[in-house]
Amino acid sequence: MAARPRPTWHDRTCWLLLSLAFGLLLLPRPLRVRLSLPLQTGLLAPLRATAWFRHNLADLTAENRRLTRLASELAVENARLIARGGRSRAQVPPTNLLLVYCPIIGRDMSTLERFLVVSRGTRHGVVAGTCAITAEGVVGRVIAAGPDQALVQTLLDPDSRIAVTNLRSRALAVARPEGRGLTLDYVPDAAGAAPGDTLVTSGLGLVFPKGLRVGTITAVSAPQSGIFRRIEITPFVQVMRIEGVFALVRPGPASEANDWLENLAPAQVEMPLPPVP
Amino acid sequence: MRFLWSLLIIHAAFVIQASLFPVGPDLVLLCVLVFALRERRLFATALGLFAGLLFDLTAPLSLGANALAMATIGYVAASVHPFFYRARWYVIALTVPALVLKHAVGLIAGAGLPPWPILVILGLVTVALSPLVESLLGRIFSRRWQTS
Repeated sequence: MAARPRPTWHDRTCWLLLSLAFGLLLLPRPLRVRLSLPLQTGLLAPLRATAWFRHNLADLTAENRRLTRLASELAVENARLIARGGRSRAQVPPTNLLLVYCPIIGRDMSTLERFLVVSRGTRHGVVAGTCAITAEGVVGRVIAAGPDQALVQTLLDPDSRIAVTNLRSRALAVARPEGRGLTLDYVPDAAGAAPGDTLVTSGLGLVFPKGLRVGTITAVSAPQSGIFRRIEITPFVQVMRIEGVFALVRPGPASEANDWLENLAPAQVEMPLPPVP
Repeated sequence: MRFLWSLLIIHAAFVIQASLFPVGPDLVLLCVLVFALRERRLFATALGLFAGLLFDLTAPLSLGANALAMATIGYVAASVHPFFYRARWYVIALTVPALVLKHAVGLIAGAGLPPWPILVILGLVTVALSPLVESLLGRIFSRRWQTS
């Protein structure tokens, strides 16, 4: 019987590399994000260059950006007006948030819609916890930011949660991703949700400002065993189709970035709106 | 030197894939397979690890999933290729199991899957492009591969 060949240093190094890859999976999630930030800055730099080239290729792009920004501002204002009971524009205090356009330079390459890498970072005021929107509604929030790029966790990531209000019935709930849409759990039968209702951010949780459009209810299932209904929502934003987002940035010096990493699970970043007079 | 060139090619493939064809063929996987066909196990494993890390940087919450999958693909492909005749169909035949392995590891590790129709189209386009990538890299590295 032939003796089994002894592993060479080549083999051992291969196993070491495979173990290293497996070891990365065992790291705590905040540490994974923290480790990836410097690598992102270096290795994804060409993506920023190609994005810059693409986005400055023609004047049409700039014009489109200006119009999208305008539409986005109007959408935010409109949602805020609706959320505050249809007050006139003059009665609504000016927001203290700025819109910063962030071109998308990379996507989560597994699902293409759970995470977005954008080419704006702390130098532009985009910090962890910043809300990302488009003209259609909420996209997600920034969970980590480097100097020139940031990572946006979309509403479709399984770890994402968003507090919402039903515009018609004013019922509050928390939406979580399911499949390619969102769903509401633990909504009482008496809450009066119906297909076609529009959901906006409730402002609870202090991550998303109040009144941003989230989605529309597409199906409401009757309670099977208990008092809660299960509600399916189609988000207004189709993440697969967007090429850029707007970050809602507070003017002034950027606060300490990546506070989020200290406590990954709950939303800790405060972004209050001005008080309603 | 050859390793540095291959790293550059993998990085270039990633940039092309991520910036131009986010919903497109898996060029990086094809490059790793072609290199694994011609190079030693350590070379292919390290290259796969690098390629997987690039993918993972776009979704750091699942850091390690693609790195493990791609490093395994590089290791396995480089380990089994001496048993096969080196023909172009080899890359085609390996592409499908490699794609399955990559997405299976990603799914287990929580990285998720793209929608099914997109996944099927991506797989078909990737398989269709595999002879082209093999031929292209074969031309670029022909002298080096002949002398090694």
